[in-house]
Amino acid sequence: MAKEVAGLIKLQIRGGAANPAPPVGPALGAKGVNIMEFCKQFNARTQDKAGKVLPAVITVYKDKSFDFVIKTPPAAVQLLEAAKLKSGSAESNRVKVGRVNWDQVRAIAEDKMPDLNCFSIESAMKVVAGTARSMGINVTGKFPS
Amino acid sequence: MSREFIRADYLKLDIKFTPLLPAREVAIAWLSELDFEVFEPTDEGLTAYIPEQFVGKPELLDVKMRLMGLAEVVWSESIVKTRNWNAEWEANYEPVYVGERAIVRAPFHSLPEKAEKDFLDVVIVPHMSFGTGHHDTTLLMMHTLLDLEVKGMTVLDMGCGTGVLAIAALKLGAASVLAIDIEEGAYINTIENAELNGFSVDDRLVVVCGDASNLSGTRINDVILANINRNILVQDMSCYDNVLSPGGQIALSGFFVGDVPVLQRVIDGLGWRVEEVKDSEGWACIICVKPE
Repeated sequence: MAKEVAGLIKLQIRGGAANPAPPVGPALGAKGVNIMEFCKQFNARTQDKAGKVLPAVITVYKDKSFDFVIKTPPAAVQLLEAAKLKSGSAESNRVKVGRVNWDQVRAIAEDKMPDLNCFSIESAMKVVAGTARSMGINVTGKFPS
Repeated sequence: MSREFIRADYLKLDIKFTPLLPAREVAIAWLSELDFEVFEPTDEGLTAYIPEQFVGKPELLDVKMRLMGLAEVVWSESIVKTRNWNAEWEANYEPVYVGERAIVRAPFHSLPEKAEKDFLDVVIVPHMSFGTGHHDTTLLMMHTLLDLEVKGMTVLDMGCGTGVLAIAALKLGAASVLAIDIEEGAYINTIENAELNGFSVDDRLVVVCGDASNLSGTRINDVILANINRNILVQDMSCYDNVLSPGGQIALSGFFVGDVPVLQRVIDGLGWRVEEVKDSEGWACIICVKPE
């Protein structure tokens, strides 16, 4: 029989950086989970993505056990990395401080397709490009037809 | 790389956005550049936390101003006082038996009645440090330690956590133990737990808050125990090699079976000989010998 679920916890944690501090500690600790076990497991599973912000969905069961799935970094985080920006532009509409090309946008859109509620890769790319522009990251070149 | 667990008060940001997207995502990207490490997305925005001393007000204000260009922002800041977030679990858990040879227990557990004379009893109050025996890696390391025959040897415990392995080594008759952890809370916890088990910091037990860089110029060890993680081990194994005696043994854990080849390459590079690779529930432990 499937274990009874006590709750779902959604967090975004940097790879290799889970520790008992808030919000991991309070969120899991309140449900009686051994936080240290979660941290050891999360950090071991994310050694290849150390430092990257990773969405995690943690299922806590009534018997205080848990499991979790790790997704790829949010589009905005991937865009910052792709643009190799130290930070976004201060005035995004006027100063373009970083740039990505449509191939990079497509790669991010394909990666995040399941989370974007888009029916086609083209519409997903437009959503990602919109996020880029709002962060002051210019998308260079022509939209691939 | 991430910083260690900071047991200080945390600044909590509670931010609401209208419209929610893309502001919530962008906020996570920008705040992660200010060293925020964990985010909790909410229906209206997000909460984010950082040790109070780690964040500069001007940088935070800069992010806030930029986000106001993307959405209507409701921004609130508060302080979360630190406490033992693991208290609920720590108040009531089962002791861990290491085969029939040892137990790792809390003060509220009693010793098994039929314990043999050489049965090893380790008492741990974890207080958010790692090492109560419940994790497969701790159990693998405990089994390994019991097999190594450390009596009369000098032992180094890297990433000591609760100090469980260091204390077990002392009880097994190690000549002296050097226990090191990068996290201040674990350093304090190791000293507390050593005292619970009848040991004080003296010539036989030295506890240091630091990392592998603290090893240069220290004594040579007959046995090294390191239950940390793959990346730290790969980075620091050459430092361990520098303080491991020829013929000395080293046990590594804190990584998955799938990570063994990565460690194997470093082991080969150092010329260590792999004696045994153990595993439990997907976690691995490698025991090596440094050739004479």
